[in-house]
Amino acid sequence: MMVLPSLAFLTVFVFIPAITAALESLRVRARDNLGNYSYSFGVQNYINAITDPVVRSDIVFTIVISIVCVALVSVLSYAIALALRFGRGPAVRVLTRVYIIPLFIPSVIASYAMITFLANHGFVDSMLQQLGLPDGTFPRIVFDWKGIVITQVWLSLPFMTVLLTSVLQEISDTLVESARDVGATSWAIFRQIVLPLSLPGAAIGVTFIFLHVLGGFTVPYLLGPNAPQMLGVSMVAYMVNYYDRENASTQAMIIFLLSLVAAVYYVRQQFKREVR
Amino acid sequence: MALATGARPMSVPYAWGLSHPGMRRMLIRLLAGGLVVFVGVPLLTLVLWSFAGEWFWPAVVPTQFTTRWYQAVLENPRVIDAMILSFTIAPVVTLLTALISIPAGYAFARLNVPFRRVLLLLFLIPNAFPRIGLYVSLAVLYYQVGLIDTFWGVVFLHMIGTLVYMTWITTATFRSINPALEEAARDAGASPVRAFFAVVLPIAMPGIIVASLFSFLASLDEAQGTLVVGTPHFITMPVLMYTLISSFERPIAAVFSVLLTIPSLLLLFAAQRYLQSEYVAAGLGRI
Repeated sequence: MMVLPSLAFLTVFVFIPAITAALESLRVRARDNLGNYSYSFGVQNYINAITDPVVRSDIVFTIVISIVCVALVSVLSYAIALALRFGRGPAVRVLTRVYIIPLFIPSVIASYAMITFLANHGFVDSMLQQLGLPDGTFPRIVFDWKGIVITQVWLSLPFMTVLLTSVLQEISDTLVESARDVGATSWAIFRQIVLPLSLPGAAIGVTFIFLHVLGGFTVPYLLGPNAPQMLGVSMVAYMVNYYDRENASTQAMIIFLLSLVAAVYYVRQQFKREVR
Repeated sequence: MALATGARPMSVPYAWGLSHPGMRRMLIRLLAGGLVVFVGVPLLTLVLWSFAGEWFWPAVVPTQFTTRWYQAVLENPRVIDAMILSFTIAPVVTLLTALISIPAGYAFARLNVPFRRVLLLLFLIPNAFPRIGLYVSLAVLYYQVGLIDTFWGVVFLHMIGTLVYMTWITTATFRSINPALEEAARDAGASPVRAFFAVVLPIAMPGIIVASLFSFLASLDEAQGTLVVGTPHFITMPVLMYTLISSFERPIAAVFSVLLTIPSLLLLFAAQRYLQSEYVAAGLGRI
């Protein structure tokens, strides 16, 4: 009963629009010689999306970027979380204060900061100039895949780190110390105790960041290349520039289907944890 | 912990030196230093730009500093309107979200597993479906019911994101509270409602505060959906930022970014105490 208001809200504002989009993606538009449109029902839009070289490269690009982002964020956050959990000293206190900051920076601003920071003739470029790098040799980062990845990693860092720190906190000191007492090295403790125990908990972070990057719009729109584009950007282009609701919906559904793979993985991980 | 296995020379080669306390300290310092640069310097660049009177490439810092961009921005009525609007929408969104997601979170926390599986999946869909696609579909729906370009239209759109998030954090928070406490209150004669407000809610407060804080920030941050359903009359701060970036007025956009970041950073300092509490950890980790 207490869940009803939120379910009702989700139905009206999420499920109904989502279903509308799903139906629209199945509506095939044809144009006869007189310029009249006729509509039929089918999966032709999906076939077009997969066979069209541009859209196909956008799909591949989106998947690759998402995987790269998740991998980089995971490694970086894991290192920070390990330091926060097992480290001591002033450097750890600095880490605690700093890693959380991006959480409080709106993504539009983070993107803009990255543009001024990394653009050709931006901050890093002029820094390297002063150190003697010839003009024009600075690689293209902004308006390229590297810009998307760096900014998404920057933005996702706090979430993943908070999550992993909490997961590592659940591993008891007693367990780690008893392993040490029987002579295990730090590396062995990490490989055989810390890592396996933290993986299921890390799954939620991996899923969330994957979904976030996959369906993201702001960062790739402001920092990404023109071609190939991430699906979020290309979808809006279809919608706004070509008034092509059918193909825009199809791309939305493709992102959704890709996301479902990750979502199902996540939910299964959660079940496993609950069974234990 | 710092008493690592450095005393046992045998262990060192396996660990790439990680077992050595000095080496590990070094690594942590490197990590901290790297992170300070990675997180801090891009933001610092923005601050520099906001004060730049004259900045010719390749100077590392501006050659002339000025505050006239700040004046220009603060005197612009569009900016003031956007700020007022953003700070009206965010509390409304947070309050409404709390009203419907706290009961849901409580119910989730006490529900049986089979129900939770289905509901968990239902609550994951808003995250799995690409937001921008959802907003476009929602805009069509808004046109039909007359919510397009209205205050409530924007509020409801912001609530899509905050609702799911807040439900999850509160679920985890309530789950971390032992049901025995509540039962004890019931045994002592308290009604279910009273037991909830007198026992459970106070314990859950830090978790709820953190969740509300995140909702508030998420609402301040939301730009893509507001752009779709709120134009031309409901321009929030981040939506205005989109136009500023695309019009390439760099110092103006930088000033605006700084102004837009200040409230968030103030919240960060205000919330520091709660952010380090175990409830956040619980909120994110044990759903």
